[in-house]
Formats: sequence, structure tokens, C-alpha cells
Amino acid sequence: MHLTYREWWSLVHGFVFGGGFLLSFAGVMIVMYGLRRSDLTEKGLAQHLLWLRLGTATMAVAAWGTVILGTWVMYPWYRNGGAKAALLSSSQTSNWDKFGMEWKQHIAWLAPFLATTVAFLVLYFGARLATDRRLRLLTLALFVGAFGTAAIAALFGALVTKISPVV
Amino acid sequence: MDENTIDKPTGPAFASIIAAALAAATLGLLATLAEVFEGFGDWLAFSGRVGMLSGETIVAIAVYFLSWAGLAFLWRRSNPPLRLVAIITAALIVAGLLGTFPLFFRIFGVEE
Repeated sequence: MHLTYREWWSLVHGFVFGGGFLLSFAGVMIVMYGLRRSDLTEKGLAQHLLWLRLGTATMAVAAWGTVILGTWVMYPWYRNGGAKAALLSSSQTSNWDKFGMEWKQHIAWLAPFLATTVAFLVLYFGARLATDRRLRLLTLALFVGAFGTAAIAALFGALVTKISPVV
Repeated sequence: MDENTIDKPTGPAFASIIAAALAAATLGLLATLAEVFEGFGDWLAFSGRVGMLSGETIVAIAVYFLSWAGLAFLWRRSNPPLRLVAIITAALIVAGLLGTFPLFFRIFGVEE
């Protein structure tokens, strides 16, 4: 299988960073949801926190990597290299650019802001998240928000690329 | 050391929450304004290759880190009410989501 230079970058953007972020969500979510002081021993709590700190920090880095590569490397190729023009050339496909790409390129940027904040909350509050239910729920809500925005961006990214690939 | 016993002020952490929501709202506002006002959109094209998305995202990043730093300093010893922080955050994020939603532009007569 041969991949072009641009396809390699697409792979890093969508699969390594983007895919890594989305696939990590379930695991980190389970650890975060299970972070209840009453259910954990001292050792269990320390292990949960270690995984949570590693997981959220890694996801924040992945989110930044995805949007920076997407905006500054992939998007110029899409915009100036013919993929966008190809979509706009037909009324049957133009909404994939005017709606799909337009929404994706903006909503994706909410993910790194929210993911970085979640990583910071986990780092800052630590074990307090296990005892303060309201703080934990707020962190969970922000985490779900980061995933939701990234998932919408990933879905439209995959569909737009399928219809008009950047090659 | 048991971290449960440490009662750090919530201010610096809540600052990061409000900052993320402010960045989202900024992105939404800039995306809408750039579509509605062509001249503003052109001004946001910090990079010719990327277009106005470059300015929109760079300004949003700046708002995120600067507002985080500013609020963290202001709230370094305080405990803002969680409920209020959650309400402000939700409102700003909804504004951001709305502003970045392409059908929203069309309300203002932006061409499809």
C-alpha cells in the first residue's frame, strides 16, 4: 500500500491524534466516573488518579495536535488544492463544504480548550474529585463536551474526506 | 500526604473553566462576524493559506490563555460559587456552539 505525503499527514491528523483522542475517551471516562472515595482504597484512589492524570493530559495533547495539524497543514491543502472546489462545483455536494467543513473546522477547536481544562482540573483538585460530587460532575460534563465536539468534527472530517479526499 | 486534607481555593481551577467557555464563545462570535462582515473576515485572514480560520483560532487561543491567567490571578485566593461558574460556562459554551453552527449564519442573510 502506497500513501502520498499528504495522506501520511492525514493519517497522523485523523488516526494518531484524532483517533487516539476519541478511543481514549471511554477508558478515561470510566476511570473518572469511578473516582468515588467510598468505593476505593487508599491505593486504589492513588492508582485511579495516576491514570486519570495521564489519560486527561494525553488527551489534551492529542486534541491540540489534531486541531493544529488540521488547521495549519490539512485545511490549506483542502482549501487551495482542489478538494473544496470539487465539492463546490456541484449543487449536490456543495453543502458538504458550506455546512460540513464549515462546522467541522470550527467546532473541533472547542475540544482542546475543554480537554486542557479537564486535565488541569484533574491535576489541580486531585483526590478532591473523589469526595466532591459536584466538582466531579462538572469535570465529567466538560469532558463529555470535549468528546462530543471532537466526535462531530471527526464524523464530518471523515465524510468530507470520503467524498472529496485531499490527495 | 492525603490530598483530601488540602483545601486549595477553587478560583484558579474555575478560572480555567470560564476561560475555556470564553474561548468557545469568542470562536463562535468571530466565526459569525467573519461570515456576516466580509471586511472583518478578510482582516482575520492572518495567513493567506488558511484564510479567516487562522485569525479566528489564534484570537480564541489568546483569549483562552490570557483570560485563564487573568482570572486565576484575580481568584487566586477565592472560591467562586460553583453553581454560578457552571451557569456562566454553560451559557458561553452554548453561545460558542451556536456561533460556530453554519445554519446560524444564514439567519443573518449570509449566502449559502
